[in-house]
Order: sequence, then structure tokens, then C-alpha cells
Amino acid sequence: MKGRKYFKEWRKEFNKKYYHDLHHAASEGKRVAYVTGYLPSEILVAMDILPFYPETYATIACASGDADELCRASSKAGLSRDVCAFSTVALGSMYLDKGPFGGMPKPDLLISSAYTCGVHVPWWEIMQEHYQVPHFAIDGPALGADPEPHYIEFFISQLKQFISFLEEETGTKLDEERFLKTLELSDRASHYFNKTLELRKTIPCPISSRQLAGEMVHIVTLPGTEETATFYREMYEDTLEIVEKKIGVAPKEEFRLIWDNLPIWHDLALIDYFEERGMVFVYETLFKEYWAKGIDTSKPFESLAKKYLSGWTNRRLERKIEIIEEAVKDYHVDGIVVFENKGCRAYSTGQLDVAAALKESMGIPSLILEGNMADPGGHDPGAVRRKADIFRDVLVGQKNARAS
Amino acid sequence: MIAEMKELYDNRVQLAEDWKRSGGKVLGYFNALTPEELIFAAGLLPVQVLSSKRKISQAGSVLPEFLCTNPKDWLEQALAGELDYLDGVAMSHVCEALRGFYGVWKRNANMPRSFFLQIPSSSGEEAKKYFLQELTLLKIFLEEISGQEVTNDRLLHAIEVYNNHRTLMRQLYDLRQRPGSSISGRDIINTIKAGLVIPKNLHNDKLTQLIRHYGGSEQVQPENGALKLYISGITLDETETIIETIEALGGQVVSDDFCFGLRYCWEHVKVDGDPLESLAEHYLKKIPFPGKYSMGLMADQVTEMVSTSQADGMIWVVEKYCDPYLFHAPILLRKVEEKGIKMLSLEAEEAGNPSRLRMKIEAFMESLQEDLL
Repeated sequence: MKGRKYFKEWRKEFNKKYYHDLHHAASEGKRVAYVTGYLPSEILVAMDILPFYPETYATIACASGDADELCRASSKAGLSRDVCAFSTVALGSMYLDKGPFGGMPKPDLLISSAYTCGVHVPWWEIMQEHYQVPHFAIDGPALGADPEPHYIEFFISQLKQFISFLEEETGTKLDEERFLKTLELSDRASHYFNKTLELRKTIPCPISSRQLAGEMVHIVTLPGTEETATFYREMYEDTLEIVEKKIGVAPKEEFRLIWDNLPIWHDLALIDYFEERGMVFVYETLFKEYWAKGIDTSKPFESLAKKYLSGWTNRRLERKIEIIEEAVKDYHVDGIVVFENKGCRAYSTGQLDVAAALKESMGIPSLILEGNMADPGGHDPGAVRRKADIFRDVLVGQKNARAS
Repeated sequence: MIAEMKELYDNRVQLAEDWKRSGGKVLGYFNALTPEELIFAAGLLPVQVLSSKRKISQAGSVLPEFLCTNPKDWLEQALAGELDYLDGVAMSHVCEALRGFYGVWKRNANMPRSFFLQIPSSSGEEAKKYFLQELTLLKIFLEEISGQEVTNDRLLHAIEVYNNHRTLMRQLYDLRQRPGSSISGRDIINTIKAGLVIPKNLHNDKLTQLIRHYGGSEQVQPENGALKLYISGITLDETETIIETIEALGGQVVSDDFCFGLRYCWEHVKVDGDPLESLAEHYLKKIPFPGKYSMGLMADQVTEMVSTSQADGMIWVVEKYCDPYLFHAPILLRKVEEKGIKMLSLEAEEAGNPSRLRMKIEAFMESLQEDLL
């Protein structure tokens, strides 16, 4: 069994090399493209363009304790702290030219997406004005999961325009064989990532939400590489061993929970707090509903369309409720933590209906936590922990009521 | 005549119910990226659901606090039964708030029918083809409600009515900018609001009368040296309070870029072949709506309009938590500075604190006055 430390060290080395490559891209004849979360960066990988994610960078800045200073910098430039917190952190880093790993690398290209989140395009436009480099926005339907045929057709046309844009900007053609190989590797990584998540149906839960929050960096950042595929295969095999040995993440797993929304990146220790008190997160909408989805290389464009249009924020509310109800059954869930995330309106609107529906249909209690995924301003770690304690009492009460 | 405009809006529910009593159906919508022409062509009365400036209570139990006021207010109205006269709604995707809000609306608003119109952010040929398919679905939805087919002839007629409306609104705005104009900012808002709740052809008749009345030279007042201000913003109700404050302080609002004002009337729908395709073309490319349009271009257009109106300064009114407008800020601020335009930023919610609002506007107007001396 390799253990959590092994994967953490791997991630550290990965980040070290990744940021080195980003900051030395020009000298190595490579281009850097800023990309928004959940767009087909397999295409960039297949064309040897290094994708860089300001959103992921913002999570690192949060975990490093840099977020507040960066938010204040973007605020000074006129951006309200009421908008997407990833943007205020990343734009602050842009304005100050500082942050973890020596700051954000300079981009050669800017690629945004309108379908995962509508703020991506205006955010990228602010960066385009600053960096003066070409910007391409991949368009698509806002509520496009379970897609109509014309959604797929439109998205495929967008992908082809995207490829043409890259070919024009780089002067190189996308090699079809390399493209399919990249997709195959991305699919393999997602396959093992998904299998790892599915192992959390077992009791006790073998892998922590906190570990997954850290280890998703590979699949988010560089899908379609051998290393990423290998990483998740090894992580799956290791987790399988943990399942066989019946080792759980908590000292004593008493209650199994769903976390709905992004993590609180500047307070990931909150997850440990829950676990230490026997409350284990076994399912997160973020992990399962984005990067655990595969690609069918026999229909590459259609498959990319179906994958990338089916993120959680693209789901209609009624379907979100169905998915979470299935997760409650499959993962033996006792409660749901609804993180009302001021840093992301796209994710947070509709959550209260999900919680209400779960209570009504399945008697599942919810804890509503208000906060911000990336902006630590106003976050009170003590207050959220007290709420966790109260929720535990609710879960205990429910358990006792069922027992009697 | 302007008083009549206000009355029409204030009596909108009665008007809608009268429409229904004569056999008609009413379709609600929420923003300027909804092709009203299609609703009109289906024989429905298009009614825009505006904010009612009320305290949010029931809607707060299903919506996060950090959502902008408009969807919370719309839902509050629905939960209070005040939108029961609507036979359905069409909600156009213009922002992240509406993407999530649509599902909450469907579950809670008790509306007979709802439709979510996916609006592309791009405007190329493929986007137009995709949008045309969305408009076709919307057309079917509207036809099902009204029981009337949207034929090409009906749609062409609707486009003609709405284009005429755009012409008349531009004429009204031109009269408003005339030196010594007696048309106030409040007059414009009341005129716009009336047009959002009565049939457009009826509104056109009233606009024609207004233009005839204000076009006469006897309506021109001697220039009184009032400070001229431009209002940039989206929400009509809070902006109305801000305009009242400006006018009470002796200022004059000479122009704006409200969604349903000049921005909406920017260009006509150009009919070239199939009218539904022409609508798709228009709503994709012609209405500079933040979130669906380049912010740089919008900033250029806003500053151009400020200059054209010869305003002494501008007030930018933004809803708290309104992502499209809030993201616009860094680019707009830079452009405004570049052009040497003096700007005051206000949150729309500040309209709820009249004395503080007055202090801010008064201080801004004094600073403009000093610059002019």
C-alpha cells in the first residue's frame, strides 16, 4: 500500500515540474494558454500547448494563505469582491504579478468557455485587455446536460473553430493520431478516477475528500498525458487495497455525508474536523460530476461535447435532485452539507431546493454552511465548526430515532 | 400624457386581466434578450416582470442571499400570487443567476408553463443556426399557449410594429436631449415601463402623441444651466429613485442606456428573407447586453453615448451581485478615465436609503459644478 504521502509527494513534484515548464515555456518553444475549468484541454495537450488554469491557481493561492492580499488588489482595480472569488484571487495575482510558484505564467493565448460558467468570458476579456494576447471563447448551452441534438451540433462546431484558431495561432496542425491517443489517455484517467470515487460506496470510506481535493489537480490540469493516467490507476489500486484492509479515513466512521459545492479552499482542514468527529464525506458533486466522465474515442467530437456539456452547473435542477437521490442510496448517505458558496452563484443557486427535496423524499437532514470558496474575508472557522458539531447532534438524534 | 404612462404600468394587472377576459393569454418575460416580436406574433400579450422593490421573505428560503435582487423579487411576487395572471414565462439566459434560478422558479413559482431560452455568447453563423433552433422551440412553446400559429406574415407584422417602436423611442430620446427639453428622466422611465406591459402597437400610438406634444417649440424651456447627467444601468425601479433625487437636486438626466431604453432601440430588426432568421440575427448581434457582448465594445458605446448626450457626468448604477455588470467595472472605469468622463458608481440598493443616496449624488453634482467653473 503506497499511502497518502506517496501521492502527495507525487503531486508536489508534478506541480514543481508543471510550474517550471510554464515559466520556461517560451525558452522551450512552447506556448502557454490560460484555460477555464472544464473545457477540452485534451486538444491543447495534443498540440503541445501548456494549459494553465487561473481557477486552479486560485485554489493553490487560497490554500497558501495568499488569497486576501490578491482579492484586495483586484478590488483596487475596480472588481467587486462579490463576484466569482476565483476571479478576484487570480486577477489580483495578475495585477500584482505575484503569487504561489512565482506567480501566474505569462500567457500566449486565452481560452475561455461560456457554457460551464458565464463569468469566464468577461473575466478572460479583462485578462485579454491586460495581456494583449488572442482570446477564443468556446460557446455552448448553459443548461446543456442531457443535450438536445442541436446542442451537440453547435458544440462540435465550436470545437472545430477552436482547433482552427489554435492551428492558425501556432502554425501547426492537430495531429489526428496524437489527438485520439490523448483522448484515450484522458478517458483512462477519468475511468480510474471514477472507479476510485465508486470505491467510496464501501463502508468505511477508504479515501478522504481532502485528499481528493488535492489529487484532482492532475486530471484538471493535464488530462490526456501518460503520467495523469498512471497516477489515477495507481491511486485506484492503492484505494482498492485500503478497501480490502477495511481501513477508513475517520478514526470511527459514524455518519456518511455528501458535500455539495466546491470545497472551501482556504479551510480544507474543516474536512478533517468533520472526519475527526466521525462524519465522513463520501460523495462530492464537484468530483463525480465533472472529471469522472469518460470519452469514447470512436466518436471523439460527439463524446467531448457530451462530456463537457454535462458538468454540474449545466444540469437542470430536477436532474440534480435525481442524481443526488441516487447518490444517497448508492453511497449509504446520512446527511448533506450544502455549502452556500458566495464565490459561485452558478453552483449555489438551486441548492436549497435540493436539500428540501432530499428531506422530503428521503428524510435526509442538511447542514447549510455559508461562506466563500476562495475569498477568506469574513470566514469564521470557529463558527463553521460549531455548526458542524450541531449537525452531528442532529445526525445522532436521527440515528437514535431510527434505532428505536 | 406621461401621467397616463405611469397609470398604465400601475394598472398592469388589471390590463392583463382585461386582455384575458377578451380571450387572450399573457406571457411573462424577464429581460431584453427575449424576442418579444415572437410573443406578439403568437397573439400573446408580452409583459415584462419587473422588480417590485419589496422585502424578500418567502423567496429567501429557496434562494441564496447573494443572488441579485431581481430573481428574488420575481419569485417573491410569484409566491405572493401576484403573477397568477401569467399563462407562462420565457426566461432568456443572460447570466449565471438565471441559469440556476430557472430550476428554482419551475419548482416554486407555480407557473403553468416556463421556457428557458439558451442565448449564445458568440455570434457567428453556427451560433445563429443554433439560436434559430432555440427560437423555433420557443415559437412552438408560444403557439401551444396561445393556440395560434406564428406564420411568417404574423411575424413580419410583429417586427414592423417593434421596429416602429424603436424609431419612436429614438425620436423621444432625441427630444429629451434637446436643449431646454421638458422631458424628465422619470418621464422616460414611466414611458418605458408602460411599453413593457401593454401591446406594443398601443404603446406606439401613445408614443406618437407624446412626440407630437413634446416636439412643439412651446415645450422647450429656457436652459437653466442644470447639470446634465447620463445614467448607465439595468434596473428601472431603483434607477427611478436615483433620477428623482437628481432632479430634486436640480440636475437633468439627458440620456441613459437602460435595457429597454436606448440600448434596446439601437438598431432595427433587418428583415432579410426568413423573419425568424432575421430575429435570430438581431438578438444575437445587435443588443449590447453585458455578459453576451464584448465589454470593451460596450464601454466604447457607453462613453460615446455620454459624449453625444453632452452630459457633464455619468452615474453608473449596478445591482449588488450582478455579475455581468460587476465584471464590466475594470474595463469601464479605465475607458471612462481615458475619456475624461466623471463617473459616480452606485449600487442600485442604495436607492433604499434616500438620505445617504442624496448625500452621495449631491456631493458628486457639486464636484461636477466645480469642474465646470
